[in-house]
Amino acid sequence: MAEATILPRAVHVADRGRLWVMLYLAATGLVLILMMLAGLLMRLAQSGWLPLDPALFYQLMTVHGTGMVGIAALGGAAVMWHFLSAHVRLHSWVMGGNLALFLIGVVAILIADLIGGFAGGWTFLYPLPAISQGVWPVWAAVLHLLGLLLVGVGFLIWCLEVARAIIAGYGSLARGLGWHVLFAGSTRDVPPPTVVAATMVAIVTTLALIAGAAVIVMSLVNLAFPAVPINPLLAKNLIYFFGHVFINATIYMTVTVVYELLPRMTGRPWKTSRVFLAAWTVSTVMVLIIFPHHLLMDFAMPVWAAALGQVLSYVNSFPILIVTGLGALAIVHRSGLKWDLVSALLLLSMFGWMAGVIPAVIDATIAVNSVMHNTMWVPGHFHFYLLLGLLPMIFALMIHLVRHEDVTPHGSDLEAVLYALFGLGFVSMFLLGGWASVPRRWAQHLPEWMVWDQIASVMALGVIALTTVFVARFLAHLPALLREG
Amino acid sequence: MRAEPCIAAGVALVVLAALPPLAPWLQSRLPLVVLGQYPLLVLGGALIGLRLARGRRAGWTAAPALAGAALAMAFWLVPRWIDAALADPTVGLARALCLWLLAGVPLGWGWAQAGPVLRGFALANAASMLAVMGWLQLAIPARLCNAYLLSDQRLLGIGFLAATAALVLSLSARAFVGRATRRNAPARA
Repeated sequence: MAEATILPRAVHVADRGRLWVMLYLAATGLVLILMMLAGLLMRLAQSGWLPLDPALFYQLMTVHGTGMVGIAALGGAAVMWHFLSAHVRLHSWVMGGNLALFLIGVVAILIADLIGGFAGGWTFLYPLPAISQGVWPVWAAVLHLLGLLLVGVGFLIWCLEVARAIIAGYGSLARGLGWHVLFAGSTRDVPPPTVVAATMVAIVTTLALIAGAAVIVMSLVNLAFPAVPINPLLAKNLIYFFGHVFINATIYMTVTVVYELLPRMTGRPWKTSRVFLAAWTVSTVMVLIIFPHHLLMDFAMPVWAAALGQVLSYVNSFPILIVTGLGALAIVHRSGLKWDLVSALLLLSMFGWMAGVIPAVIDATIAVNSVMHNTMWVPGHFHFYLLLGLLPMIFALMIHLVRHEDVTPHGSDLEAVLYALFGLGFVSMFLLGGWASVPRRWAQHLPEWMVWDQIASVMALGVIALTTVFVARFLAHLPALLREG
Repeated sequence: MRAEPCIAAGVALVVLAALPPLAPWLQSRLPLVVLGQYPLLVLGGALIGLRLARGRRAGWTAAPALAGAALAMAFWLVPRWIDAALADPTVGLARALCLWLLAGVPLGWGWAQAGPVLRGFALANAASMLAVMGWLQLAIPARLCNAYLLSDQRLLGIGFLAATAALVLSLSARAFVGRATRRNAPARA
């Protein structure tokens, strides 16, 4: 098997959009804590410990869901940009433009949700935005959707710049995915893992955003002219194609930190093998077509689409997970690596990603889905995946930058262990609630269900405290880091 | 394409699209107007715009030119003006000139001035909006143009959706095929 070996170079050149990476991470950290607090309020309300108006609960749920998806993308963009800029030439004004559009969009969404009262969830499923039964006015739904559109426009420009840079550097997106190595056995211009991941992100996110823009504009037309209906199944397919691909791509952005830092910590290169390339190519295709697993309960969907959703959900995650998870273990095994906060967070992220996928695979089984999909089981999956998979990768980059990109061990790995324990406790309560058939998206819970909510609230406090420690450490060093840049 | 042939081809396309014998046939059905006559007029102007931009660098004009072209095209997609252009020869002439000079020429100019990111954004936006236009033609229960049948409206909707698919596929194919490798080549954004 032809293999190419890449040992990533240290990234410390100032003019790689470093300023923007720092600002992205700072914004990510701050908004993340706020969104976590919003989540805590919801869990406290479900616990019976905090009286919360159900209307406010659903507004918070909408802000929390939309905000977390957005912040996962913003943090992921910072991580990927930071490492990708060592391999291709990127224009940093794009980061500034994306951040400006993102912030304007966030302000619009906050006004729409918290002042206007829009509470249609981050999925804004048709016809809910237009039929609120008087709970929110039309302008609130319009403003929320316009905010989403602005955020999407920013990320579209960002993805196009990533694609442009890869095409300029490697010749085409096919070469960015390493097809010349995979199919022609070439050993020239072998893309490093970060470039392969970035290529996949650029492809799938661009397509998702095109679909997302279309369905948002359709929803806006429907809000302006209610007599123009949208086929609900079409709207749901478009929304879940957009939403699933977009949030899925965020972890492919952040995984670049694993590909770049673990080799530096262990002194062992991450090999861009043909198996690695094949895995990313297969996942690029499957990520685009597995979204019907969100529609398994929609009886009007064709059976073949549901079957496709189930089968592909079983296999979609495994190629990249195997090459990344096993690759990470192989690099660490007997490397003499001394554990510290960054390396522990990276390994935790591998665990969170791999284990967090399992509940999703179970839920993607049609027979299970019909009884589990509207329970807490599903929030259990995506909180597992994001809290213990994606976020540790973002924290790892924050701490790595605070340490001036020095990869020698600095200790503090106990913080990662505590974060893992609180995080596991928190997500387990979702999963146990799902196992006990506790419905999701309910503002008020029966007393029999509250034990899961109460334990989750306590665990959430621990998670928020540790997140605050990570973010505060980064923010405390931010002025110095910006001066260095 | 050399300068004169480029302009000549641009003028020829406009003459072909706006005058008999082809114009009456193109205006006989709604899909032929929007997906046949309009693109010919715009392409005619775009060829001239591309020629005018040759050798001139004014990157800041790219976004306004493309936005202006999009607005000019959008105006003539309003059903009320599609009807008016058919009923009144003066409005028909205004439409032809507008699509040629206010949509086509800025499109060609702006395209030549734009970097790859702006071009990609314009095409991605076009794909989204073509899909929305296709949905609108299929979803609106009433007939939008007095001069054309509902069946034409539905056919136009399918045409828009087919154009969306063709655009996305061609964009993806182009990005995948790319060009000869030029490692870390400087590029305009």
